[in-house]
Amino acid sequence: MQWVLIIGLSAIIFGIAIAVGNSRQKELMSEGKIVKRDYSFWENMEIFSTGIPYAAVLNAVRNTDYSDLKADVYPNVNGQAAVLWKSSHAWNAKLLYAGENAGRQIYRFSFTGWRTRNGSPYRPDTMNMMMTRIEKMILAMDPSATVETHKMQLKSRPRFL
Amino acid sequence: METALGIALLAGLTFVLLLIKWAISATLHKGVDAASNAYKRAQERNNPPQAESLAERYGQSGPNGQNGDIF
Repeated sequence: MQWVLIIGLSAIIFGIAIAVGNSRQKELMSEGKIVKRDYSFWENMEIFSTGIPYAAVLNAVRNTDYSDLKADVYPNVNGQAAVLWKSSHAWNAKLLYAGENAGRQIYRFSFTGWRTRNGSPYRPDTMNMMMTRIEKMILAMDPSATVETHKMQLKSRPRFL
Repeated sequence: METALGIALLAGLTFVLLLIKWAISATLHKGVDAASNAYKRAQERNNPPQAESLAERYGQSGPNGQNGDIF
């Protein structure tokens, strides 16, 4: 009898957690802060082809607020034409200017590292928000921008403790 | 003296067990990564990614979303 009660309570708590997660996702989607993406979208690299020069992207990045993502911005990280975001939601993201190709400017956006719990990042919703923000930023500056989505080759590392 | 030796032995044993657990986990991670990366490479070879218009991706809501500008 006790076991039935414990299993029943666990199922109810699990159901409530899923319902809360779903409702937050719907809310973020209706606000336009995230879009529906593949499962494990955080493993994707997005390659943008645009007409926007790096200086303009840098300016737009500097004028964007990332406080809801708890992310600090590091423009021109390591002397590269790249912007790094470090979020306290346990992920880092990078937008790298990859040069010019056929008169178009190429940028690569990807998550460079994230911590996982049971195989998934701690806060995939904030990662979706970050990716959406970058896409919308580029789209707002260049409506003719295109994007290619590639799956990244990953290397995972277990923690010692 | 014996108590100190016992504590040191226990600490050493704990460290060794943690090291073994980490080594097994690292080997498993390496194997899973290799398999997963090979699968992704094969998928990309069979279906190379196509360039997609960002405007089309956001065609429903426009560049500023449905209910307000986030940028």
